[in-house]
Amino acid sequence: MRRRALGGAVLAVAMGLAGCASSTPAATFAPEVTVSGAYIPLPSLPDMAAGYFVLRNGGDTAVTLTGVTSPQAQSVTMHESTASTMVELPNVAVPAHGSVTFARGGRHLMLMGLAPKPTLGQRVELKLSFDGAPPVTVEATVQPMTYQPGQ
Amino acid sequence: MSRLPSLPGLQGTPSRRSLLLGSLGGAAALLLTACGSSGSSGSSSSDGSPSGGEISPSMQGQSGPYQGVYLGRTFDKPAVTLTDTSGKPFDLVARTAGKAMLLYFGYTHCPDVCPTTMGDIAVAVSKLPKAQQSEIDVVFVTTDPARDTPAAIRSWLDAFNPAFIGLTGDIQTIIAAAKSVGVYVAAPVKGQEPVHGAQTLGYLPSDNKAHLLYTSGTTTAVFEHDVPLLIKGVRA
Repeated sequence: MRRRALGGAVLAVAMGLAGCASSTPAATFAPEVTVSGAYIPLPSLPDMAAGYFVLRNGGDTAVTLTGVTSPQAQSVTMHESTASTMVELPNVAVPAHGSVTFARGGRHLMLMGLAPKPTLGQRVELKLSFDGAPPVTVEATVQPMTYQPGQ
Repeated sequence: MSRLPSLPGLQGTPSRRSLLLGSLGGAAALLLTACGSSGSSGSSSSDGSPSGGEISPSMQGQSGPYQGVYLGRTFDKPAVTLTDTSGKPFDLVARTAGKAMLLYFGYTHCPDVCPTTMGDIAVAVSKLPKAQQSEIDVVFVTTDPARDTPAAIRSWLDAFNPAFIGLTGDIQTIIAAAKSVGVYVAAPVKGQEPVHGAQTLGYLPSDNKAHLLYTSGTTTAVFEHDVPLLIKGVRA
């Protein structure tokens, strides 16, 4: 698997498609859309967790994130927090050469019924489906409850 | 933004990406690196900022020592008796009199904003000297009393700080209590997400009045800065 991933990356570079290699091998096969920094804060309740990441679209056309699934969760939905509540997002558009951030206080995944119960450092597989791009599978890391990326 | 991690130890693990880069040649690595960080168009997010909103610099430090938002007027503590997490009546005004207090309305089945706010407050409180940690009451009032039983609130709060006070009660009482301090809470509708103002109010021990507001998106650093001042009763 490692060897195939490496080959894919080299091929992409050779073809001038130098995409953003994500942290998982699967993402290297879809260089136009990448997912980075995926994490899940250790949830305060066992049956519900949030998920965050950054989506980048290196392609010339917009793509739309249509849904997220995880073999470890009963359901995964996309939401956006507002000043007083949160609304479900049926899909999320990622503009050409643009990015969309899922971050605390804004867009987030809501993962219900994670099994096994999340523990620090655990990896949770997320499969992101797109309209306009192949699906991307990443592993989100369970981080401390108050973790914030980029500090 | 300058949020502080509570446990920085887990952030430095080498990713598979760096392993991959290490095994590629220099030129390819440069290409990938340029794309991954502050490269051209990819990182200039068009709409990537969270909607919760940081307190903007212009709203901070308005002619005073605090970094929270100065309320245009003060608010008394809500004059209510609710039920604490042991199931006993809790007279909010009497039981928290003379102590600094942070007051937040929320619900436990809230994946994003509520645990982020409580977590940020918990980090700030944990940075206080032990003796001072009991000098501030952090009060969480549920906006979803049908689901948030006293036991459920206790178990949720214990993940942040076992000393945090959790209160529940009749939803109309809670709505009125929130309204009295300028926080909007709606009665939950089945099948819909509960609606509640996500701001935290900061009360001084000297006059038992709220002088400060912390909107959702307030960083841990702001709470760390302001909590010791609230405890000391520094005038806002």
